[in-house]
Amino acid sequence: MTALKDRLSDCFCAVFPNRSREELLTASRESIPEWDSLTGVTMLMLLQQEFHLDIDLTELENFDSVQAVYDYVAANATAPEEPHGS
Amino acid sequence: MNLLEALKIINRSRNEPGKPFRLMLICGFTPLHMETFLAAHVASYGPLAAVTVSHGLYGDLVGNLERCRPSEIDAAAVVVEWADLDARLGARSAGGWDPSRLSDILQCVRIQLGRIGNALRSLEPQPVAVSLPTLSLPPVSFARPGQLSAFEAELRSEMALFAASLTAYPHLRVLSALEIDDRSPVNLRHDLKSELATGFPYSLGHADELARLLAGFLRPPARKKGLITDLDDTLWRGIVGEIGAAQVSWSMEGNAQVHGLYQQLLASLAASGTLVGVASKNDPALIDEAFARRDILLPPERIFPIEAHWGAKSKSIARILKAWNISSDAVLFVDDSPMELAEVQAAYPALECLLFPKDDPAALWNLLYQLRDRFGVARLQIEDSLRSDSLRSHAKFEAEIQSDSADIDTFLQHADAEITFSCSKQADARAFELLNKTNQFNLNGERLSESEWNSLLASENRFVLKASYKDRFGSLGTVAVLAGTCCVGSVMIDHWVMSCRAFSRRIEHRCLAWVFDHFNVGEVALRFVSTPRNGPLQEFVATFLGPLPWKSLQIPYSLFQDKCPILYHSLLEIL
Repeated sequence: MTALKDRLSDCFCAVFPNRSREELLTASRESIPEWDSLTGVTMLMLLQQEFHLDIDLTELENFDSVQAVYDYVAANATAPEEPHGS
Repeated sequence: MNLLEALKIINRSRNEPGKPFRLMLICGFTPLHMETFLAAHVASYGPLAAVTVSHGLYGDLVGNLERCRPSEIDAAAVVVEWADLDARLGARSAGGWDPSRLSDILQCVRIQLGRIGNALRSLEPQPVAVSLPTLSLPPVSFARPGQLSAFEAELRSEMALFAASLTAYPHLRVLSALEIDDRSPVNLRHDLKSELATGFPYSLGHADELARLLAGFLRPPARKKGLITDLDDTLWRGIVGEIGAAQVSWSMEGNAQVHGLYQQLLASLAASGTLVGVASKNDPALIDEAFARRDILLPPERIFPIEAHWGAKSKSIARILKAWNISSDAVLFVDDSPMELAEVQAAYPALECLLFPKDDPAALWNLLYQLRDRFGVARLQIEDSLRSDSLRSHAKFEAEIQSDSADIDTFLQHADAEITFSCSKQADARAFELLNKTNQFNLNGERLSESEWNSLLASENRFVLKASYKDRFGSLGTVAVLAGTCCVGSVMIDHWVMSCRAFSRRIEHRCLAWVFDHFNVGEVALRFVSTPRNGPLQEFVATFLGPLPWKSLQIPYSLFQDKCPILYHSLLEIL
């Protein structure tokens, strides 16, 4: 797992504490009922804070799976990735 | 704290044993991250605890407040914003800022504040932390933003009067505007983009800071009990042994105002219940001379004890802790010498040591705030003003007992002791404080949250007994609290604490005698749990049941009568 994926996984685990890390790797809005709009906003703010991003709220519509969020963060994160496990 | 840390704390706290702390966040905006930060800060104040947060409907702060049932929560945090007072003061309404509407806005604000005030009062006795609007006012008035308009002045005046009215109620803790201004920059508080898109008006930084301060009112950290101070170049400027008592200074004229400010704060702390002691490497006679000066701001009668000799400071600390009968983690030591601080810290790792910054006024100002933070109280109780005097009289009492130990009965017989028992179940801050800070004479070491204590008081089948004590050495105020239930023929005591200042007076015997007499029962059962620190309680129970382990935790009346020494107190009962 890349360091970015690991950090992202930390975020998802924090937002969905009842789901396992493995489950979250392939999770989507459909597979997790508690992934509602308010959770989406929490996740968005978390990503902004953790990855120093300025994410438009309209992006929430596109954040429909962990993979989609990963793709977005990988493409937009400007801050250098922290070493694995930091 | 950032959002990820907050979420992790909440997730960790979910596994904590015990009943979760039930918190209601009452606001008119979408609770979102305020809820997250509040839960995390409340969970992590003191030992980690599980927290459940509930909230009401969006856009209806007053309705949420009015619907809140105190019996269903342990505490509430009420976060008021301008839009809750009149939607036209918020960003999500466009009701008009026409100058002709300003008086109507003010009128609406007054009406809403009236409703909020009534609803806040009805949440008694549960603790409620209140934050009044922390965001900037929108440019409603016709005046330029830099100029105070009559509208803004009247609005601020209404808010100030409202805040002042809330401070009269012990269960309401209003966040000081100065404190939040100090912690969270005004221009970084509002997140308009978030407010318009999600209904959450705060930046994450502001939400975190606000939540932290509010949580501090709901699960306040343990207050320190005693402060030990050095003298030379700390309480006053100069070395008294070198320049003499007349030459040490603490005034503007002596270029020593920082010491005067420090003395002034210590005098105020002492008058508010903080124990103040002195540890100084000095000649005691010179110290007496300095404290006899008429311009001293910290009078010697506010200090007990004064340890002045040439031995190690840690020895002085040991003697002071013994005189106060408290543990080192409840005490703070201030000295201008890093070496002395290090010596004391090595001997007492749990004792908080702070450097007196004699040459840095800005650092001194911070120290004064720090001390107020460690020793601050929401409101004063009669026992706060008695604490230092009663310790002094306790020391005299103990000295007299020890000098004539062969005849303690004669001594107690002439002590003119008077105990006042009260069974009032009105909320009582002193009783709550005793239950939560007493370690030595404590039946089981259990601590109660404010809401648990309030539920206990409200329970019909429970009794609560509070004992106040005075004798010819002085008054000790309320010194013992006992709570339990009475069934046919038997009483179960499940909470029993007594201040260590009240030892050796047979108050505990008198309490137990009262229980037997009042309920006319044949036995009293104790919900006892051994703790590392409740030795004095164990010794007392052992006088009836013999040494640990006890087969039974019941004291029959016949055994009590047989073993109870003669009690000389006169009694007054307020039922």
